[in-house]
Amino acid sequence: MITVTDVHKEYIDGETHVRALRGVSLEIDEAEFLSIAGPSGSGKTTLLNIIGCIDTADSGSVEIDGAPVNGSSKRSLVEIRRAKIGFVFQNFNLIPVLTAYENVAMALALMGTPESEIRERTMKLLREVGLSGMEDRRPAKLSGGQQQRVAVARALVKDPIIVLADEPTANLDSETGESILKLMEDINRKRGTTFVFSTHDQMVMDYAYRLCRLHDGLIESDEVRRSA
Amino acid sequence: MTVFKSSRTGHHRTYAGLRMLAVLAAKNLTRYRRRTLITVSAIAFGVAIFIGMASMLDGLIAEGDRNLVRYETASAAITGTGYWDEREQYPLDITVADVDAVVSALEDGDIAAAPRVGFRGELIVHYDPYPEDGSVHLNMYGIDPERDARVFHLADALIEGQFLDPGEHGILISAWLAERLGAEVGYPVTITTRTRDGFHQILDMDIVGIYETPNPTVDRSAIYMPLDIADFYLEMRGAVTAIHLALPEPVPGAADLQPVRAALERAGVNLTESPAAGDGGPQSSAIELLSFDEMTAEFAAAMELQDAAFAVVLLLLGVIAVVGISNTMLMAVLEREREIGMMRALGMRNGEIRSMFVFESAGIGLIGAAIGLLLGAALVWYLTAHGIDYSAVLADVEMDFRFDGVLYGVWSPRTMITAAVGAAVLAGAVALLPVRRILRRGISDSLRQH
Amino acid sequence: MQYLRIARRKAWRIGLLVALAALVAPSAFALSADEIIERMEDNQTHPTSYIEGEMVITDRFGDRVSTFFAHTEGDDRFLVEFTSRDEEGQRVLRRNDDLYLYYPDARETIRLTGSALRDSLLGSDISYEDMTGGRGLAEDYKFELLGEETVDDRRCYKIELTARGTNVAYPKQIYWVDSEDFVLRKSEQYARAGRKLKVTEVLETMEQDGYIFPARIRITDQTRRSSGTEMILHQVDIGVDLPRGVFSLEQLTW
Repeated sequence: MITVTDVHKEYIDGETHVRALRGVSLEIDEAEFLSIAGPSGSGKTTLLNIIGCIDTADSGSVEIDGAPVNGSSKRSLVEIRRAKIGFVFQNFNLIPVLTAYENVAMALALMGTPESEIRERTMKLLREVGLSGMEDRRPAKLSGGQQQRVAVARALVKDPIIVLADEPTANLDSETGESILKLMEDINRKRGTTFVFSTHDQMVMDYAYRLCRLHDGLIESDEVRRSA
Repeated sequence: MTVFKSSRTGHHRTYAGLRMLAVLAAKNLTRYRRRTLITVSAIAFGVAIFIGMASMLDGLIAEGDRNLVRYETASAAITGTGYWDEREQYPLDITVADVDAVVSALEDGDIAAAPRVGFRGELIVHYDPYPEDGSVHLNMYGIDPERDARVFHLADALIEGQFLDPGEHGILISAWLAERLGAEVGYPVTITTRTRDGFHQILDMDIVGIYETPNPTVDRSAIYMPLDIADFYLEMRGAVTAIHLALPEPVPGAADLQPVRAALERAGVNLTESPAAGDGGPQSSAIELLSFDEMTAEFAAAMELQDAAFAVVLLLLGVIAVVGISNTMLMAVLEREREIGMMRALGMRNGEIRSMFVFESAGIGLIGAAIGLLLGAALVWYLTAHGIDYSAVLADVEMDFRFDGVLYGVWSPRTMITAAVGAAVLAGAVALLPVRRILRRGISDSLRQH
Repeated sequence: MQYLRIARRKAWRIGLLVALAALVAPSAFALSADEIIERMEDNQTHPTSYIEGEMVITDRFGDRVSTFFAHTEGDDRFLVEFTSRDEEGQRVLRRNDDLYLYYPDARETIRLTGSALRDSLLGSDISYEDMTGGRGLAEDYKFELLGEETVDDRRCYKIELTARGTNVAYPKQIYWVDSEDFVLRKSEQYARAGRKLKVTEVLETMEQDGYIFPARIRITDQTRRSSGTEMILHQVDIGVDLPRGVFSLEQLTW
């Protein structure tokens, strides 16, 4: 459902000219639980950004649900992100002045969902990520793990076709990190949402069902690790 | 729990709803308490000062107009055609000849009219009873005591002695002049001037009264004597240099001149020509009707200059406000770059992000403006009730000005609202530039920050 | 007896005639007011002249001295230039009925008209207006001989001048013209209502080429005390050759 074909991406980082992706091809199906691994600078964040329509490839094509994305205007990319793609960041990136509920609900409000529906879906998801009773707390009053759960809920509340997580456990201790991964795995199984992580953390790699290794802008290996 | 209102549904391009963005913006204001407070204070200060200054300026204009109407021009005047252009020379050969016809035409129309002869002369005083010899060039006016009191406020300004009586060789001088000459009621003066025909003339008069008006231009330059005395010595042969009129007016200087024209027309007095009286032979001397605006055109020009100066001050205040807020907003935007990146990743449109920051910035502006409005109102209240005493500063000023020592402010709700709204709008606009900078960057770059 | 009576009557008539003649004779052989003024003016008019002098202006603050030199031609042309420090280079030019002022510091030439003529020259008791006119007093004034008076040990004709029209500044003046040399020894200027404005006295005279000049003139303002102007002429040359274009406007600003 997401097809990446021969994608190239270069960018200038200060004085250096970086060729982040040098012809990457990849296919992601529904309900996949996939990890893109590699050392820093291997281009995994770039690949994730391109899949997530945050960035555009210099050449090659990206198709989401059969529709090509690479030639799209910035506007249409925004719409795609809005409705179809969920993000989880390593820094959580919650809005500090909003409560957990508000952070999650915002994703739905952006789409014009009616109020009653927002309430229902948000509360449900917060329960699902194990945060019932914490809805009115601001991020400052939540632990790292709890914040990341809110982020996961936010990514999921709009029922995206794919959730992209960029090093989601990097700022958590191993125990908390593992609980987050377990949560995502649960959701993947129950809802069938596709999860794609980028990571260089071994534990995360171990959790993945499918592991793509990226090295120097090219896919080195792509193997199924374990099954659901 | 906060409620997020969402707008239309079902449409492919749904809009987040300005309400949600506004609420978000409002919450964001609490993020940098101290910084926001300082900015708000700066705006409040600026708005309050602007309101205070506007009030003073309005007060100055109102006072100036009032003093002009009450002591110099009245609501309107009838003079010989072309007199007003030459009035600085005080010519006696451009006159209203048939004074009786004009005055009775006006009085029949219930318009109070005061004929005056204005001329230049030198006032000379001698040691004993004066402290020392002295002389000063002054503007001198022959006035009809009874009629003058109906049009001007000079009679009310008398502080010592008596007002003028027809036929008496008496003059009124100002307290300002009396102080400088060491004069008192009853002291004699000698006046040298020229008759209408140009002959030298000397008048021996006594000071019968001392006046004090709030109009320093008058106090520093004018003395008054009975019209019939002036007519005799200047050999005016019944003519006068101006007839001043009192008309009902809502605001000083805003009188409607139509009743005057109507009254003159009814009596057959032509404003382009008026039959001369007294100097034998038919002579057509043209007279004209001057409005307050026409008579004070130069004063208005000076006021325009003040307006321009005020606009400059306004600009400066605006610059301060802009600099103040834009710094705050710039820092806020830069600090939140990653957050902005996140919001964009989340699918928030550029326009929505811009709106959010504009609301935030306008919010600061609005709060500052509201406080500034209150402060400004307090300031204006003080100015209207107590005014500012400039008398010490003005005592040695040489230029023409028309307000007395104390300047009072004027309430102007319109100005106050404009200031507040302007501050809010300006503040809102200021956010756009820093936001634009960030939105130009790639989302991934923004996400990479700090 | 009858012859004596007739003779007496004739004598009586002759005596009366003689007496009458005696009364009328001085007038018949004496000058009229018009003639006196005419002779006075003749004495004042010369083709050209060069004058050096000074003006002392006195007011309640003290004396101020301004030195000058001047070229004149006839009645109606002169150029005065001041040489004292405060007004150095300032000039006054008269050509017929036009009066011009030149200020060297501002490089400004001003033509005086209208009420500006009423200003005084350097704050003295002489106004610019006083410096114009002179086309002949007879045109502007009527003369009446009031009699004779002694002024400073000189016998003078006392003549009253009354303005004919309104184009002069003084409605009435009184002149004391010396009966021997027809120099104007003293004059008084009056305001319209009859009050005395100024008194002009000649304190000294000097003779040059058959003309008699007032060498020292004092003008006192009667409306003020301790206020007056004294004009002192040090040198007067009559019939000089005037510098070329001395009365031109270009020369004025040179």
